[in-house]
Amino acid sequence: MRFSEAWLREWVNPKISRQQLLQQLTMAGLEVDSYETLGHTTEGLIIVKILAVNPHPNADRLQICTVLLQENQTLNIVCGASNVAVGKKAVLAQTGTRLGPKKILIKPSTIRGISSAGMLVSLEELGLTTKTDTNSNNTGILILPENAPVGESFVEYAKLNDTIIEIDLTPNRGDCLSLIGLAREVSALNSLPFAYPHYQAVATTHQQQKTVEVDDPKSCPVYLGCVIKDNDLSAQTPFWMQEKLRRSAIRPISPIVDVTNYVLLELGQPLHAFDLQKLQGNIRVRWAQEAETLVLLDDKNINLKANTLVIADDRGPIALAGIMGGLDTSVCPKTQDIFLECAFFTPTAIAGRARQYGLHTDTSHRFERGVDPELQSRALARALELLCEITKGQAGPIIECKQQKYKPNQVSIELKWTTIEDVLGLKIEPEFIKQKLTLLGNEITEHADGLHVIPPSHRFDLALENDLIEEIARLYGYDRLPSQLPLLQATAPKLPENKLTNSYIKRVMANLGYQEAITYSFIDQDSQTWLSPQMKTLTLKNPISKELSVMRSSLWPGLLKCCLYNKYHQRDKIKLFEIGQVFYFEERELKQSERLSGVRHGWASRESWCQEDRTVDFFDLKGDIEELLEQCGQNCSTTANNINFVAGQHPALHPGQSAQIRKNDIFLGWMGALHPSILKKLGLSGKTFVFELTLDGVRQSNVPVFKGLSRFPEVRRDIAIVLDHTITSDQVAKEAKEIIGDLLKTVTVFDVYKGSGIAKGGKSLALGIRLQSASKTLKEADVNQLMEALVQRLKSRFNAVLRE
Amino acid sequence: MLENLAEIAAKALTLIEQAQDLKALEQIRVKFLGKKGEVTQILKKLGQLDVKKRPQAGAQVNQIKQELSQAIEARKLDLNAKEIKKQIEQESIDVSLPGRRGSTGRIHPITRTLERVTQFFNSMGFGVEEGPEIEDDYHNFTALNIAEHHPARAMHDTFYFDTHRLLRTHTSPVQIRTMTQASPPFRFICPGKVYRCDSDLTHTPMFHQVEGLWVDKKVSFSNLKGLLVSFLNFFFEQNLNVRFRPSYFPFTEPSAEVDVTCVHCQGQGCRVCSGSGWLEVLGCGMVHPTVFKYCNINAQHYRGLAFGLGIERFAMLRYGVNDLRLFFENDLDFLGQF
Repeated sequence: MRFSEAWLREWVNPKISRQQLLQQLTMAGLEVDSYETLGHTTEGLIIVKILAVNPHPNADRLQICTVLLQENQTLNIVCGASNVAVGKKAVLAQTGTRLGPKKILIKPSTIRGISSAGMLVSLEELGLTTKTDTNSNNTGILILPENAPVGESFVEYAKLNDTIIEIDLTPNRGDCLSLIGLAREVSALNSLPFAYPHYQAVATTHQQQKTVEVDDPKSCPVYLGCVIKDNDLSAQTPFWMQEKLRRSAIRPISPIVDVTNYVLLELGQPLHAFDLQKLQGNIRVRWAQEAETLVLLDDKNINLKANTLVIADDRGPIALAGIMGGLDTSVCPKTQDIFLECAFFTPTAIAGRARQYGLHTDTSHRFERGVDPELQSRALARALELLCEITKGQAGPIIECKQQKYKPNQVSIELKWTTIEDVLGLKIEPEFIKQKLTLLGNEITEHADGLHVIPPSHRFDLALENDLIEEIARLYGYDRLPSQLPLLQATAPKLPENKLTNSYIKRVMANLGYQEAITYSFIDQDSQTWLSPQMKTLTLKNPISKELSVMRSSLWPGLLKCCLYNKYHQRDKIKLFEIGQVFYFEERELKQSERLSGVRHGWASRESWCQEDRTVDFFDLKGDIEELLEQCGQNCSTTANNINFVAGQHPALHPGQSAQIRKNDIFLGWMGALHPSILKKLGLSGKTFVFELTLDGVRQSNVPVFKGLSRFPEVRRDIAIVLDHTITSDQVAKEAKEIIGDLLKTVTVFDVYKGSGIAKGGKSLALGIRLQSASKTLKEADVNQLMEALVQRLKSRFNAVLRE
Repeated sequence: MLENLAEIAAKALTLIEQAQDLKALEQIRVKFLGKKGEVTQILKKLGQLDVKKRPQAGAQVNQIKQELSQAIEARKLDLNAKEIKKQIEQESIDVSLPGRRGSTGRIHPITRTLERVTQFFNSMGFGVEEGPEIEDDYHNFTALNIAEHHPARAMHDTFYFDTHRLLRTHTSPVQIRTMTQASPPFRFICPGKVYRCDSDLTHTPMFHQVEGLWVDKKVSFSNLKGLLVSFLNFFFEQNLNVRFRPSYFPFTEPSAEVDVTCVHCQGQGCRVCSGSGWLEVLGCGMVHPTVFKYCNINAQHYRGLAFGLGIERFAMLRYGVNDLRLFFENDLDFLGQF
């Protein structure tokens, strides 16, 4: 809501400064979004009368105007405007004036040989044009009404010492979408009385009427109308009204339109003027029928929906009720007779309708929030008063279609002193409460415990006790309420030791050298198809863009995109991780669960004075995962059989370099090199390794259980065996575990060798085996026997040969 | 027999002096003091002397022996020190060369900020509750007293999958879920990702929120003020001016927006606060009775205070980040700064 401070102060004028007023509004919940002072030019602007207009001898487009400043004082002004005419009143910027927002100094000048003692100015030069005005054809100077007082200061006359205030109104405060609403609020804030002005009822000069039928009075409990004939087409909207409209960012158009806009701003009541001659038969307020169409004022042709209330005549819909009028019945410069509508539409009948047609108007904005249902007679009287004065229109009798019982009724609210104190944490004096609630227009009756409160008809937002408490707090001042930390009831926390926090896991990842990334939960369809082809996709109905339209079922697409981004920015050592929700279907049911994923790309080490250049490989990533899982309470040694990496096939991964990670034989996640064909599709050159784990699996840790330490020496035996290359080291280690049993402490693969000396298709594994007993020193013979048994087992199982 | 003694001693001392390493020194020791060493030989021959002369001669030889031993020991210490010095010289390195290590990772500034916020509320006895990001309109809107035609439900604000399924626009549905599943009192925060159909310089379609809720028999608006003022002072580590302004949210009544003195210009007015000197940082209020009704909580007996804040905004203010979009670009140079 944008309005002029001077206008507001015509209604209520508290003795506070401009800054104090702005502060007061903001702190009362009517947040001042911005403000601008209008008084760019403070002196030197004089109202003059043009006495003569003579052509400039040396320029075709210029004229010499003789203007009257005051009795017996005239000046010659050179002017290029086309609208200068003898007898008109205009504004003269005298020499020495600093004009407009740019404070341009007006100097005595000689224009093509003729001296000019100042300048006749336009609205634009005065800085008074509205934003919407800038494209209009405002080429001429400002012409003032005939009654403008010659010789007086224009600054005074036009109240240029003004501020335009823009406030952001919350949706509950529709009652402040008018000057009168704001004045009521400012009165209450400053404890000043407030009363509606009295409007003079205009005399009825003819009996022409329109029959109005309202099909559904619940959605339109009040419909008033009036036929106004013989509006003078040459009439001009008075300067003061034009100025007020402009200061509220509304462009003056014609007296009829201007008056409806003016009443909207002044009282908050939307009005609509139909061209009487274009109406056929009766006026009917009804629900639209599917497939009916209507061309709106803004030339837009819409297909109506049955949930939309329309105003119709015998031919069909002529306006969207409470939203916008139709083009066919609208007033135009030739309109002399009008039918003026002034109605109350129930908010629920209007809410959301404008939006469904892609519309938003001043009218719909107000009806959706609630217009005072008691305002219509007053607003119509005001409009008639103004119209009949400006255009000399002839008003007929007022047509009334009212259904009192369907108006929103104001219920009495029970307000208890104790509740106010409980909610606010402060006892506020009953006198203060009673005074302020009354000033806001509530009807109050006191009883022993508090008040019965009946809110005024314009406050749609007051229905519960809490609503009234907010009003009290607001007028008391939120800042004056105490700020107190409450006393806490001590409670024991629950922190299961075997449940790790995300915070802990993130730090482990960071310590492993991974940067945390946060990527969008929605991705593009291609990435989804490439990386999770087997997944049913979940697509947004209204995405921001195609790139962000599908819900991710893996964190990989987002991380790979970051990887690409950083690669384009010349980063060649990329390690990123993310924890976030993914979305997928499991047996048609939507699942949302958290994952931990990582990506490595580029160099493992590079340009180091002490290490060889090396790009990242599978075992870098596996090492990271093992370290992570160890830090999260797991045991990654093969013999522990806790965490297992099992070669597996994943559509996004390289079939020869991918593993499923299992924890206690339950699926934990995937890791591996990205499939070469996917790398190509993504446009990512160079090996890229990824992993993804279920976060629940990672977070689930355990509470350690102490095992006694062995006091006996440990024995180490190394063996090297040659076997087929398809046999995994895991398989070998498992045999060792089985043969050696509890005496096996660790088994380490310390060398893998393929090449000369080993038959093709074979490999040599060197194992370091450490044995220890908890109860005795192991005897040489016993150890030898075990090793012998192991070699035998490896031979029978895998055809493995001991390498001499 | 003893006549050579002085000569031998002199010779030995010179050799000791000249010995360049421990090995040479040991050879000298053997040559003179070893079993067959020259001094030892003289000592062995003492028996041949006249009994009367023996003690004096013995003392003389022993003295020489002792002198030589001491000289050898002294020289040994000397040589040891030299050897260590030499070793140290050989092993000296350029300590300014970088250490042998992998890359360094950091925590995302959003996480960092979230954790800081969580830390405060944990210490005030608030638990942490989480919930699904794909929500239904009941939990995201209806139960929060957001009427069917509220603008927030419009397509231009909310991401929809179908008529009922949507991406949550705030973390408030977690409050509904938590309140429905247990009984009061409640004291918890809900951190998480939220989504709005908006993307420009100052909006990203996904961002992070923390909302908090405290439901008990005696909590008041004054407590809400006390809690949030303490939080803001904790977070920014300065005593900022805080103001509470009346506002409107469908799920709270009374409602307020909270402004702090601009941390950038200390209230003088700057680009960050659009010249107003204030920064809007929080929304809050007392839980609306209708919300309690949806959660089967008796609004006569219980009152609740609720608040919500945007993590990105706090992160930007705290760390001076000047572009919201940086948070989701994940540029390593950006991430590495936190």
